[in-house]
Amino acid sequence: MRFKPVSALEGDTFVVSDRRGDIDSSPDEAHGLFHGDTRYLSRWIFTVDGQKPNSLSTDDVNYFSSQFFLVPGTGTVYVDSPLSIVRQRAVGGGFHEDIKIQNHKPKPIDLEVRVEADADFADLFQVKDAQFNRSGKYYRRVEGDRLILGYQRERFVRETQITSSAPAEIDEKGFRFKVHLEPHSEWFTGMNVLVAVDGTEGLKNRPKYRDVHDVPTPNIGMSLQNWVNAAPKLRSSWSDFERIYERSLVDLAALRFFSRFAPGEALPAAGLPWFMAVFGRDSIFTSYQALPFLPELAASTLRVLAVRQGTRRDDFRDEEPGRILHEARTGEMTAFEERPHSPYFGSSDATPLFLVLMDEFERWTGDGDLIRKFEAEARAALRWIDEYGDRDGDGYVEYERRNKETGIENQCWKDSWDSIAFSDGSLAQTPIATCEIQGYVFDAKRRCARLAREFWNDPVIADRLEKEADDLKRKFNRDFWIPEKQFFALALDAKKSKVDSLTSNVGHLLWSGIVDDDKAAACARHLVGPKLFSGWGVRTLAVGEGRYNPIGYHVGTVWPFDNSFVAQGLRNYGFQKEAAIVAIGNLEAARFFDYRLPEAFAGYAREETNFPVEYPTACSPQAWSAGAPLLFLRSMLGLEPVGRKLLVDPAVPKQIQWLELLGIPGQWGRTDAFARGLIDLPPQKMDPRNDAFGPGSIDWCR
Amino acid sequence: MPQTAQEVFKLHRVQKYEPILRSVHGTYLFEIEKVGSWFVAVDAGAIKIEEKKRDADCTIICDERDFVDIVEGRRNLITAHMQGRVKIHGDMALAQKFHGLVSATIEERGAA
Repeated sequence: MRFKPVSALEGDTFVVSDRRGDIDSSPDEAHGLFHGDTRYLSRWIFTVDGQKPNSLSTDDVNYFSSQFFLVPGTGTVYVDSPLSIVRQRAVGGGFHEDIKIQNHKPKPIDLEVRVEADADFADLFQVKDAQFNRSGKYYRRVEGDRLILGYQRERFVRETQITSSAPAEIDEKGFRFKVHLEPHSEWFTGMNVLVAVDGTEGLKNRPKYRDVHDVPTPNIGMSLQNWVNAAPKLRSSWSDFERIYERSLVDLAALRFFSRFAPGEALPAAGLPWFMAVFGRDSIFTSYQALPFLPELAASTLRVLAVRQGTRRDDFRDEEPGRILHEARTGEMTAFEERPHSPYFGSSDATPLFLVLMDEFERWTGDGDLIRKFEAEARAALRWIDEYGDRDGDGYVEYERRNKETGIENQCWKDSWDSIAFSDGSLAQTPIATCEIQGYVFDAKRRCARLAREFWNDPVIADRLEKEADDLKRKFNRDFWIPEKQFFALALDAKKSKVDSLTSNVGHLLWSGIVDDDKAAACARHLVGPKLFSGWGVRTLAVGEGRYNPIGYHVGTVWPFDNSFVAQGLRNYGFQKEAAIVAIGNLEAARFFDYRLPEAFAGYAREETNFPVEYPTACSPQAWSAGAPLLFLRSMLGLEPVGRKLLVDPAVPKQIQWLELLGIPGQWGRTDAFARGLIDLPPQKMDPRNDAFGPGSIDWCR
Repeated sequence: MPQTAQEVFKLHRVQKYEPILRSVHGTYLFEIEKVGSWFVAVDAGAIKIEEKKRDADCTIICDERDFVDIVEGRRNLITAHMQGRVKIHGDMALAQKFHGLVSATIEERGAA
């Protein structure tokens, strides 16, 4: 049986190990110590007398440290172990690991303890794709009390340096300790594993925990406790909601990421393990979700993305002037331009979403300085929409990658190769204009009209943007609507044919506000109807569509982040009950995932499985999934800034008797929101964890 | 087309204002190995260049060949930095803006 790996992370450094604490990478197991998209340890195996101990218990103490409690394998049940082994690990600039062995016997004991280490210095792309062709040379040497593992390609040098506080025989494969333990005594060593970037100039990284007695503390911005304290407090009759909320706050803290291009600015990385990097779209969506709770994330996101905005046309990177980046990486393949991520600009939604976030940030915080400071970047983004985004001048933003080798085919949030398909299953051909991107553009222009009028002193462009937004809305409702199906097409393809699959994208249209009022009810019915709604959430693609697959990444799974925007969209159009159905379904699902919503989960119907089924390779934690409960909360409480006041208009289901969110930050200072559950929801099917029928039967009340 | 760092800075010295740097305020020090150091101050698009070594917000160190290649668009500053060919100390955001300036300058020349 395969157990879930254990992860600890800080910034873009993270460790993925098994439940013993060992790192034993293979094509099937993406274990390792990773930093800057490079694997600095691919092997870290602890043995006692040649045997791997067995795991008793594992504790993710917090996001940056973990503990492993082990005993030697006796192979016999009901035999007390004579030894206890505790490994404690804290991540930061590599990691520090304390290893402690206790002798419980009344007799002395001699042990041979070994820690084997190796590093393949694989690029994260190679780890992900399980392809390990390397162009450089490996080296390893023992230098005094340290083992150095290295990799060099031209002047690209990466090193792992390992030391131990206890005396050891060090060879090129690891550390050997001759341990003598008196009765009831213990042995201890503290090991430092340091990552060194750029060997030509010496080490930049220092051990974060130099002393074995150091108390692990995060070095990203404020401490975890201060981070949690700064967010509003949630109290509810449904205690599970409080746990989900707290889990979200901690995960967002864990995923804070320092970009080298904006020191001191922590923005959300996308997710562990594959996406510990700056992603334009993910950072924007997450920051939007977190705005009423942790507004500093949005400020950082805007600053970092503004700094790295596209300035030229570069086909390899799909870069264009004004375009907001898609993904930034720093590993070997990116450095040597085998991948275009330095950064890569191949997303067509990040640019309008950047503008949406900019306006939303000001609405919540009242920080007009940032809006004025990034006026040039905002104008460049608006120009990109019209001059580059709209490739053929038809008024819609469409995408087609310029980098045909390593660029992304589908440059929307559903960026799988098969995500944009007709109802009969045939794939749409590029250039493709997906519906939700048009919604984002509409919203961006409308919002920027306000910014131009109020902050940029430019009423002319404000008028022009409003007119363009109105025209786009009119045209969109004509060209994308499928009257016989009563929903909006997923996209227009290269021939301007409507891609006629029913998808969750309809919910993003509601969120953007581009939907005509007379079409909104039909959209809402579809979103909570049986083809799209699984009972746990809205599927990415409806049952019955040609490519529907309940475990297809973007063609049938449920994405909590997606659902949070669907819920907010429903709420924006007055569909309070439908919004609550979507929110509650997802929040109930979170209970089955240790109160942490994953990147995605399977789209099987709730009555079919009775529990939400995991998607095999989902990232967890994932930033915008961590942000989803926050947006669900906003939508249920009906939180909207209106000038210097916060409007609270709750629509909470009856099953949650009461809800309090205390200390909501904004340009009003801090304020509170209180709600009672008044919305009747239809009953769901059996919830086996409670042996009853939910949600009315779930333990909603303390 | 400039072949040396001297020629590059001489070319830019005559240009007193660069619109793409309108939102940039900061100082650069370019240390071209075995050639010399140039201090560049940018203030809302206005550029001032001096051939001297001074403390700056962002220091960029590389050999002359790589520097000219970067300025001429044959090499990307950011990936050259990732490869270890170019050292960047200090404000990376300014380095990114320099990359933008270089790109824009080349495009402008290409279009001219």
